Amino acid sequence: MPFNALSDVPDEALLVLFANGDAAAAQALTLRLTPRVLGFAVRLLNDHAEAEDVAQEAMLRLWKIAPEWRQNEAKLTTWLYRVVSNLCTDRLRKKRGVGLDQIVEPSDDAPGAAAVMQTKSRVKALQGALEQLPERQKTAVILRHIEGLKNPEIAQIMDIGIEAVESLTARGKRALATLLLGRKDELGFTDDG
Amino acid sequence: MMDNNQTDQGLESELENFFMAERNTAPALSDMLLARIIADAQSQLDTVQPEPPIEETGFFQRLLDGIGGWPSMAGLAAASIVGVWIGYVQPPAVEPFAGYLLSSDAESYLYDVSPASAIFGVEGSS
Repeated sequence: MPFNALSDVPDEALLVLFANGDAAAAQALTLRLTPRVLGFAVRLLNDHAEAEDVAQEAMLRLWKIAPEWRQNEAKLTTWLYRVVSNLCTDRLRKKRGVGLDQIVEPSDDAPGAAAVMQTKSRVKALQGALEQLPERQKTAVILRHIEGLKNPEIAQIMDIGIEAVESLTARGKRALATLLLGRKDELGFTDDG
Repeated sequence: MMDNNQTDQGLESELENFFMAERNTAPALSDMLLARIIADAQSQLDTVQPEPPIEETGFFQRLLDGIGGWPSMAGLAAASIVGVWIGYVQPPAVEPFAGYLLSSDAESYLYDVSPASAIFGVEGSS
């Protein structure tokens, strides 16, 4: 099937095409899903090289499960987020013991006037603050507020109830507010309105 | 109460600025990573080839399979040709047998091999 013809095909149907030997379907899925998989892994691990390994491993698992994939059973992206979350949890547990001094922090000399620089320092500050959250809170906050998923899907990914998701995101946001907004002056944020 | 709500909304809005900045910052996606992932997919395709579709067999194919395939068909064709040839040429060696088998003098007998069955054929026995 021509590659362009696959742009409107749902993820799950592409996976079935791949399982039937269609290499173009694999290419379409790779280009469509890798940015999301990598982005989520980077946010969870705060390490680009490790996140790339996780993204490759998650996609490899996708290729392997393709022949057994049953349509209408689950959303492909939900399954992938879950795989990435589990792979990152494993890596984080192995790395446990990393001190707070190794966590990426916003640099003290970040200029506060230019909007571009302010965006960069917001991103750095958020990443630093996310690193200080408990793992489950961090995952829930990233899925809800950065990946933009709804609570029922997050519940499926994290294998918990919807109320537990709400509780995790609420506590996570409170902790982030304390960590980030207490440093507003230090980070030089002036246009927060 | 009102003050608390306003504070919460203010915090939400301030946090949203951070989330938005993060959402707009996509991690760099290297061509190398994409190539590695596509290579994995290709090697998976190479190891697990889908089973070939089962071909629909037609009537003549099934008939041919039923009589033993092309070798049997060749034997059948040869026997048919020999039969036609014998009928047409009528070689002298075949004539005595043909005369015996096909003459009107040939007799055949029909007899009952089971006399017990005659019981059912007796009329007015009761």
